Amino acid sequence: MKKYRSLLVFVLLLAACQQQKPDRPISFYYWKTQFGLNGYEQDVLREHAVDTLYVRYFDIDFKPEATQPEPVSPIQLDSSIKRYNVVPVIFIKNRTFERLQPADINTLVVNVSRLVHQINQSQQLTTREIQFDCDWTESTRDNFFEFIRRYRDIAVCKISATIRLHQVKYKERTGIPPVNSGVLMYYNMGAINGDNNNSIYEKAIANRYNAYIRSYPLPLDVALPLFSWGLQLRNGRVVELLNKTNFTQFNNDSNFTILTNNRYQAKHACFKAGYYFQQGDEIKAEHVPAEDLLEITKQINQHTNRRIGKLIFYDLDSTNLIQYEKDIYKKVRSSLN
Amino acid sequence: MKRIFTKKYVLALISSITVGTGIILACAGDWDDGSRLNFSPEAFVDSSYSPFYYASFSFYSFGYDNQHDTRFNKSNVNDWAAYLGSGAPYTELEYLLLKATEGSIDSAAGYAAGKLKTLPSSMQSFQLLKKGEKKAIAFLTYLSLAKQSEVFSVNNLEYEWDYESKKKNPYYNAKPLNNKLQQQYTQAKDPFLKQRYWFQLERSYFFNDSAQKAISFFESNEKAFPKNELYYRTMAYAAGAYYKLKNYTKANYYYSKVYDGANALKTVAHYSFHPQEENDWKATLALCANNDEKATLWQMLGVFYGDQYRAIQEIYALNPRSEKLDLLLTRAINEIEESLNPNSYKYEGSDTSKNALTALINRIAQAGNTNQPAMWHMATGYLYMAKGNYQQAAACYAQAEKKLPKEQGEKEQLRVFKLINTVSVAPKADAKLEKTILPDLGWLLDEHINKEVRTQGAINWIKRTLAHKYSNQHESIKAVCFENDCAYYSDNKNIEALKSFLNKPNKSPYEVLVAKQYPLKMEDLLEYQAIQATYANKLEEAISKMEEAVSKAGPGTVSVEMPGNPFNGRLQDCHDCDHEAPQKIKYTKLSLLKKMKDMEDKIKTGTDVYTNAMLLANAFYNVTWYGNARAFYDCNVYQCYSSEGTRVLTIPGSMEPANKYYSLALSVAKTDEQKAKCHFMLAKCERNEYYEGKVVNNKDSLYTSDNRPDFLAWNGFKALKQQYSNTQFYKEAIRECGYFKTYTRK
Repeated sequence: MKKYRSLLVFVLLLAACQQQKPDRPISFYYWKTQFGLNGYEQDVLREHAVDTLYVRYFDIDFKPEATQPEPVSPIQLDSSIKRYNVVPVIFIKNRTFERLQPADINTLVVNVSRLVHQINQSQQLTTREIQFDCDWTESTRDNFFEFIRRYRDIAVCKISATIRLHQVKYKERTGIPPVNSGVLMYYNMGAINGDNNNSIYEKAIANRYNAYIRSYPLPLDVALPLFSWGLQLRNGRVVELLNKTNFTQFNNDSNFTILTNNRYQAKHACFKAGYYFQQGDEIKAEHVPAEDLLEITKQINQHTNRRIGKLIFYDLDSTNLIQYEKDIYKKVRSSLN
Repeated sequence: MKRIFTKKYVLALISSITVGTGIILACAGDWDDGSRLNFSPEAFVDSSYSPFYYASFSFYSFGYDNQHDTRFNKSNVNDWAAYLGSGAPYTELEYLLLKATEGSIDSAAGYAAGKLKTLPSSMQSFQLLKKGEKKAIAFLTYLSLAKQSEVFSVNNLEYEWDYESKKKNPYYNAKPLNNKLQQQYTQAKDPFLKQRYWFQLERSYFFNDSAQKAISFFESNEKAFPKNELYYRTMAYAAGAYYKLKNYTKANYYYSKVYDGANALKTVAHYSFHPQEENDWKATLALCANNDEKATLWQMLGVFYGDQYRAIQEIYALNPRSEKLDLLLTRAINEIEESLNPNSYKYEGSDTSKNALTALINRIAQAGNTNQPAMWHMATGYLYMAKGNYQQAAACYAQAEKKLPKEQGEKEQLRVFKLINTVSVAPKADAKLEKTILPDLGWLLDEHINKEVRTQGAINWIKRTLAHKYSNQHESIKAVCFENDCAYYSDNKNIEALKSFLNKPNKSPYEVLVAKQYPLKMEDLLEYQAIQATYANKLEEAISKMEEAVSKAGPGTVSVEMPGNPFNGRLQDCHDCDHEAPQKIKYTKLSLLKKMKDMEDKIKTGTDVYTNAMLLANAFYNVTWYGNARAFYDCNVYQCYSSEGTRVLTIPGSMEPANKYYSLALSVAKTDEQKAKCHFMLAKCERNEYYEGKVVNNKDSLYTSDNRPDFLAWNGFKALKQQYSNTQFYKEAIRECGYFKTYTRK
């Protein structure tokens, strides 16, 4: 009896532990220039108690003919955004830091912080974190990191940055950004080309990077891909990225033949979905199916030692969301340790 | 056939300077505008198409159109100046139309109509407002309403980082404004004014009312107006209204008319023209009233969507003489040129598609029924030439010659192509070739002759090709004149030969041309020789060469002052410290050499040998890459990079002369302090030699830091530790140099 009692205590303890495990928060990136959610998107957010959105506020680019970096397409907000905690995300084209002179970093910092403030003001928002999204490289790290340091000096907020897998693997070269935390972008890992790999997620390619995640010296959230796109190929070379395109419409179009389950070919030159195809062009449709999302969480479990904080999906758009069962977010969330 | 420097072109250029810096700067940086490509659209295509001339990255200035608010500033002022006549000075109109505020215009209108007694201070002297003429009053009445419209129709993008200015006011109540505009439009008898009110009202409907209303208003009145720029501006809003309604068929049809009808709106139409599905496109084609309208649509497809082959075929079938083919042909040829550039990252079609395009161009050229037959022959010839079929190319150029019009651009283009072909086909660069090409090459390379065609690509290509030919023939002087070759300078015999050639009196005309191509000057060679002599410890020769260089040169690298004292010798090299430290004497290259020579002489005569040897050693140390006087070797020859962008001439890093004099100092040193210092300096030299061999001149050393030893003990360190650890210098060295300190503890 004594033996059973101790077993019972153990089982109870185990149950208690399980009950205490809090639900990992999930969130989404919002990546359009006009903020507005349709019914489907609102439903998904409500059902999963999403309270935080990572909203692209604007891009920064240093165009070849310009003398200073400029903001590109600042977002127009509407009042519905007030329901959410907002983390402004600023996408900075890497070439900005290639050309930016160290003496001009301060000006950029002030401009960015002022523009973020103005956008916040337009809907009386208060934000407590800012995220910089930049595919920085060895040659731009000094400027980018200095930019972050200066930003930290003037802004009272948490600063995070997106971290790409190559930056994790080659951290000695690309450096660790001076931020409070990072978001590991677990997608866009492959080359965008016409081969049979999926450029958004491919297990074999992910494996080249996985071993390095555990030792990356920043607290990490993870971003998972919900988007799909198509590659328009001409003689095997990518000539266009087809964004937000529903590929079922190619199935019944007599101008196209179906080559495989994710490849089409233009029989005649034609317009389709706002794109122009020359005769012979191929389209390779890429997306990450639900089973791959679950596979990704498995990989992350194996290689991150339970250190992942939030789960953020890219991106919040019903054309992406409808490609999945509505319970996918729950499944992904619960499969992540 | 169009000349490129028409008045219109010059005007456009001026306006682009005043409106924004985008286009100008585009040419200044690494922005590839395609000007290195040989087939010049400027020679063949109407300049109104210039935004669509081929550039590998994008359309010219495209993606960066920042003229939304300013595109029509000039034509507005011009239109009003013509309407109001001589009583309206241009500057006053400019101020009123482009700068004055809505309030001040209201006051001015009140004054001109006799309702107010004073003018705003900024307009006190304006003649236009004083006469109270009817036309002036009508202008101000119009302007007052037009200024009101700016609240919704102007972007105010002057300050990129200002968010507020980018926000449109969604709550603008346009009803009162529209009523007034409608009233003026109905009442206006003057056709000029009536059309302008029509435009204003259409624009306000587009922004503030239903799309359908904007369409109806345009279509029910458009027949009453002339097809001028304002007409097409109005039409562009109707096109936009169709776009809002997702009627892409009609929207694109209107945009094609706008594109064809108004040059200033070509870029706007390009942005907005978006067939969605094949049926939209077919339906748009079906709307066309004639073949010319269809040709416009095919040109837009060919240019905007990069399918020149299909577009040329379709337009040619509709009308072989269509001028719409010109732009397509130049873009097609430029694309093929781009694909021949091995450094281009841009994909420009498979061999099959290029061959098909070549065949099509050839067929059209042979038919000879286009509006510019010479252009098609040149295009065919150029494509043959690119494939190495020089005989066929020559035949095409001969055909082009027969059809050549009087325009300078086409003549020049043919001249360039024929020259390239002649150089290409010649097996050797012999006297015969030199004689043949001299007149054309002289013309091409003469910067003082203005040319209407692009020459940059041809010049680079011809120079490089001639350089290769001469190099193969072992005529290295001509080769290096056409294409500077850094490796050439590693042998002093070459430099002497080159100097003789440059100095040669009575050069033949071809030799004069060749010598002119050499990018450096005699003084650069002398300066380089002086620097080399210094490292070879031949100070006398160095001084003589440097003196000669100085006598020939104006201000340049030869007269540069050394930023720090080159006789300093530190425990730890610190260039910045030396450069910041106050200096009593500033040394130029020449005065430094002379001072060094003084010291050498003193050593030879046995005067204060230790001090002089030490100082001389420091100077020899400092004029290398490791020292504080790197400026010493900065000269035009050292700045030479090979065509692959790698430095062929190694940066001076030899420690030999420094070693020699530190060793001499050591041999005559009397005190342990002196000896200790010599050993330390020798250790620095040894360290530099190690890096020179293992790292600097070793390409594999990058990223292999793990393989290197983490610590090396130099002989000088050993000597210091073993024999001089009791000296003051030893203690100082430990304090200053962490590396040495580590060694002493090992």
